[in-house]
Amino acid sequence: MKPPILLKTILDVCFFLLLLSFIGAVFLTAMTTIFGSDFIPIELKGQTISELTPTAFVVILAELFIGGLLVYTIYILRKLIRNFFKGKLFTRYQIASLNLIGQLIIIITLGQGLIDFIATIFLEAKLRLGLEIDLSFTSFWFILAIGLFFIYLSKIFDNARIMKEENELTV
Amino acid sequence: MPIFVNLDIMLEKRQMKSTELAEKIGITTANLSILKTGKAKAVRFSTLESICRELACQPGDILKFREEE
Repeated sequence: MKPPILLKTILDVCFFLLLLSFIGAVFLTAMTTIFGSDFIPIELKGQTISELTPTAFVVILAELFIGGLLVYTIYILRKLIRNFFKGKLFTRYQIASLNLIGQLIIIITLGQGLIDFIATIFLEAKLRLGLEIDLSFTSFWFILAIGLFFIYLSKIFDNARIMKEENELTV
Repeated sequence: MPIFVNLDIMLEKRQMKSTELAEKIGITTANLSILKTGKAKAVRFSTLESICRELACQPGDILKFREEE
C-alpha cells in the first residue's frame, strides 16, 4: 500500500500552525494576567474583555485547555499516520491511538459546547437555549460523529488484528 | 485450546524427523513447529491431507480433543 504522504504533509502543517497559535495564546494570556487586560485586549466570543474577572479568566483557561487537547489530538493523529509508513497494519498501538483520538474529539466537542454555554451565561449575562442547524462540516453533531467513527474504527482494527493473527497461525 | 496435536508421537512412531516431514509436505519447519507446539489457530485440509498421506495415518491420530480443566 502506498504511504499517505499528502495526508502526512497536511497534518504536519496543521500541527505546527496549531502549536504556534497555542503557544501564542498561552503567552498572551500570561502577559494579560501579569500586566492587566489593557496591555493586549483579549476577545472572547466576539466580546472584548475590558476587565479580567475571575470568571473571564476561568473561561480563557478552559479555552486554552481545549486548545491544548486539540493540539495533542493532531499530534497523536500525526504519529499514527507516521506509524502507517512502517507498513505494519492493525497493531495494538494503532488501535489504541484510533480509540484515543476518537475519545479526545468527543471530549473537545462536548467541552467546547459547555464552555460556549457557560461563557454566554457569564460574559454576556444571558441564557440561550435553542436548536441550531449548522449546515457545514464544523457542525457540533458532525464532529461528534467523527469522534464516534474513530472509536468504531479502532474496534474494526481490533477485529482485523485478531483475524490477521489467526491467518498467520493457520498452517 | 482443548484440541491437542499429537504430531510428535506420530513422528516418533514413523521414525521421521520434523524437518523431513516439513520438506515432504511442502511447509516450512517454522510452521510445522507452530503446529507441533499447539500454537496454530487452524489447519488447512490440504496440510492435514499431506500429513496423513506422509505418515500413513488418519486425522484422528494427529488431532485429539481433551476437555480443559
